Amino acid sequence: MSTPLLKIEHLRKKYDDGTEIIIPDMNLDVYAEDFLSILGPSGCGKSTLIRCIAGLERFEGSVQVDGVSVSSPGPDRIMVFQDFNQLFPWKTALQNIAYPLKINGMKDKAERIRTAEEFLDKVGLAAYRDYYPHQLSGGMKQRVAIAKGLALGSKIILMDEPFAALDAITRNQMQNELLRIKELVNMTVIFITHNIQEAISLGNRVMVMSKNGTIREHMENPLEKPVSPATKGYGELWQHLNSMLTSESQGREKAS
Amino acid sequence: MKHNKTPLLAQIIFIIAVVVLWQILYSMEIWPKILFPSIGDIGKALVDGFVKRNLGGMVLHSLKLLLEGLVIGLLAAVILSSLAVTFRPFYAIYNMVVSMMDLIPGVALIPIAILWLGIGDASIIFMVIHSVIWPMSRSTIDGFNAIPNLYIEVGKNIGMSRAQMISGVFLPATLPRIFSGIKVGWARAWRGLISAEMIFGGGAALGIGYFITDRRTNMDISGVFAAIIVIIVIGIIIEYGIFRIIENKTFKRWGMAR
Repeated sequence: MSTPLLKIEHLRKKYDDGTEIIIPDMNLDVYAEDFLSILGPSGCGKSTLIRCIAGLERFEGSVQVDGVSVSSPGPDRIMVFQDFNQLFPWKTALQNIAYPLKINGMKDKAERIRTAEEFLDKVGLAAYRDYYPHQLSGGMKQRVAIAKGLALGSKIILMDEPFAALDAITRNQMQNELLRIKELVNMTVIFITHNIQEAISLGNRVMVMSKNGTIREHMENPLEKPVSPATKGYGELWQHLNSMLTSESQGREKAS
Repeated sequence: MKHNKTPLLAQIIFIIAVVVLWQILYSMEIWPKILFPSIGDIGKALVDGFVKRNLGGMVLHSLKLLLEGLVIGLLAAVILSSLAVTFRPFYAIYNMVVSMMDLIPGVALIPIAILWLGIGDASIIFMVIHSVIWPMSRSTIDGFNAIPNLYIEVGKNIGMSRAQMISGVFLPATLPRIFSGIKVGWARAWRGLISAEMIFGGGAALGIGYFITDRRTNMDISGVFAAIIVIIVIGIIIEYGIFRIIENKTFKRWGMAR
């Protein structure tokens, strides 16, 4: 575990017109099988950071995956967006997972279907293989999107507030589901959220970003899984993270 | 499916009412019979057309040319529109060409078609392509430009090449628009084709348009009406039969349109 799976060095991101700096100078290491939750007030650049890692934004500095520098999107870093419409509506749940396998050179159709079925089963949607996305609920769509990344053997799953648009009950279910999948498959996850409960329930590492695009806190999550508000130390950790986030947003209000 | 029956019933009642009204007007003898035939005369002319005058063969001939022109026009529109969204300079040029060409009525091109391609199938296909390619290109390009950025990012994320994006994302995502282009285009093409056949008035262009001209010169107004009915029936079969079925099996099934 000495070399990080993802190594970010001096990442710098300005708006496309070059006026405002979103991320001035980011250095970050993520190790294999880490689940890194990134918290931050809105507008702090956490989405921009994950989009830079995904290669969907241009940036200065370097992002390396397994020692290889990346600057454009690729299937080694599958992104799970917040928007439920990220599945192709003209493909069934199964096809949405099988098609990317075809794109990435899996020539045998039977093998593609078998792999897609295997991962649909892992996310608990085996019965929905022939459903079109418009027939699935929001939570189901997000699970298909996760299964797609897993089936592709993506090195890092990037999640940009994937559960933010779900209702509270489904959201809790999805968190448990994600933890269960994480137990099942050894995956590395970077998870953006503005929800403290979500960050500390899911992540083995938690990072807080400041509104000026810097890392305010980056710590190991001391809580033992499964995490609930009754877990020892939950209150203190929540307080600690919350005070950082609220001082951030107060600062922002004063500034504006 | 219950709610589908009421409009169908209303439509059938409307058609029956038109037929009855027609027959009442005929029996009132307001206009000469030679200008305003009875429903029975039109029906007889319809049967005669198919039995004695090869109307069926002419219809098939017209439909074959229509289909050929539609396929060529559709493929050309999709290929040129794909190129247009891939190469920016070509986009500017093609956009302008579409705007200019779309303004030219098909009939205005008939003299050119006759001089360049002669009176015959080639000219008819030329007319059909002209009718369909510009509206098709317009809706395809508009559709390409309206594709949600999310689909494009997802496509890039799973490693799709530019060519794969065109066939795997752009075309299926644009299918509803392409289809509305086909609907506008085919009706224009069908009208253009019949006009051209009527103007050619024979030669090697022996389709349904020729049948109309031929009946008119023989002062057989019932035959003209019979041909018009055939034109309408074909249109309805294509619209409600073929197009509906394709829509229901593709983007309506995908939840991309109601």
